Amino acid sequence: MKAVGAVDRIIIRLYEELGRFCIIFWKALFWTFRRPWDFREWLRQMARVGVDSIPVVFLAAFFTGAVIALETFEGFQRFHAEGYVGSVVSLTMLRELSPVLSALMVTGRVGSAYAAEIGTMRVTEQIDAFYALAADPIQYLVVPRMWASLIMMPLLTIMADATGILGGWLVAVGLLKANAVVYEQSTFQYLDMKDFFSGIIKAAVFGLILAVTGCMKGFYTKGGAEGVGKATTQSVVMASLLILLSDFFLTKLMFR
Amino acid sequence: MSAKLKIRIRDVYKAFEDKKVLQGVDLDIPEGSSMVIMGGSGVGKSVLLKHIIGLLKPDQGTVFIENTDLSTLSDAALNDLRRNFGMSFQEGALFDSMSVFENIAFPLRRHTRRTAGEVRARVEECLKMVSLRDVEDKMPADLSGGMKRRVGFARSIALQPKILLFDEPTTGLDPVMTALIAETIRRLTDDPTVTAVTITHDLETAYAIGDTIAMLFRGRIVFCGSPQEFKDSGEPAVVQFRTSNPIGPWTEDEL
Repeated sequence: MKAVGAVDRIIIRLYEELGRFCIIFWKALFWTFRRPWDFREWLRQMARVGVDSIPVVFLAAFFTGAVIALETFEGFQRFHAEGYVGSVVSLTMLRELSPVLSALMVTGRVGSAYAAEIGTMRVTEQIDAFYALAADPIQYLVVPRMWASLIMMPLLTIMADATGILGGWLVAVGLLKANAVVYEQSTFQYLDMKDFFSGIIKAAVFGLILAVTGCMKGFYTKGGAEGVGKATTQSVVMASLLILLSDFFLTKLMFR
Repeated sequence: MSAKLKIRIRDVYKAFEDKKVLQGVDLDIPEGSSMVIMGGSGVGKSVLLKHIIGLLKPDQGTVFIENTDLSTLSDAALNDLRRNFGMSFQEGALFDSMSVFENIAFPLRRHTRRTAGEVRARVEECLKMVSLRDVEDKMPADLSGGMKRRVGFARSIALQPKILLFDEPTTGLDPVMTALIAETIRRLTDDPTVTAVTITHDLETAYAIGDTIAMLFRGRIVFCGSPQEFKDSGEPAVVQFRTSNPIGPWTEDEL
């Protein structure tokens, strides 16, 4: 190991993280179809990801929709295209910003909590205790969290779509005195079901990424309270980056 | 005393990054016996215990349970084997999202087909063994350290496993509770099919529960014998430990 240079180490680290991500994902998938299923825990986790995230996602989407309307209205007015503001808001929200922003908010709220919880369980030997009791901790901890996040993220995104459009409408029509009829028409005029579903698919993938990253970082935590802190931070950074990177490739795939 | 060997540890090495913890441990634990592993803090007693249940894998060497080499087992087979084990951890390692009752009921619900009533009866029985009452509905966060440890102990024996591993079950308990836990371990190991390995650095506890006492020092077992032999041993590490002498091999590196 002595001959390993700095660049090599970075590459090794990268593959190590990737490997761990795949291991946790694969094991969670494997354990999903094995008894016993703890549906109460699934529901609990779904409430945590979904219901408890409504306020932050609502606010984030609302103001994002509002600011897009504000910015584009001012800009589009210069070449008399303010009639298209509604389209801009709805298209960017549905296709891009609702899923990405919701995912980033949920990463901060839930992904980090996953890492902290499971990390604490690791450093207090609770993970070992699962194994010692002949139970697999992945089944009890990761499976419900992963599916809860994967199921709830699309639902949150649908809500974000609606609140974003609402925010844009309020600013354009209420604040900037745009023509309400024209605005509403332009909001839905160029919208396709594909725009809607691409956002939903993204949200599901992001939900998977943020949950698996959080659980993975927690699962491989080392070194006491400090380690838990590190794992939590790293889970947010890594999940956010993965979400933004995969967003590009998902878009590229779905809209050639 | 020609009982068959339950646990065989052969030439086990384990290092964490640069820190060499186990450096060639050999240990035989016959079925039905009660083994006590002693040693100072940080010599790798817990690491050794975790090797026996396959939570850690040796860098080199082998751990046999009966005649099975743990390293040859698949995850699923290892999991099956672990149903024969009960292990209590240093700080209890209670699942903190579950109440005390759910913690102890966890292995019962998972591995047996007992009815809710039978599970409740067994949980109460286990709690009684560690002298705890009316704590079933409390969460681990509301318990003191000593109580957590006792609940962890109760959880580890709930399934009546054949191999018991206790990681410092009495550390931090008051003298009465220490005696009670020691008595409980003694009683459990009276069953000739039950094998126990207990880590402690409390001499009284070791004498009370051990058929055999082993001492881990600098990554190796430097002594292994009956409590009487332990008391008579001239091995420097044992002598220093027994006489609570601040000067000796244990503290040599620091002086």
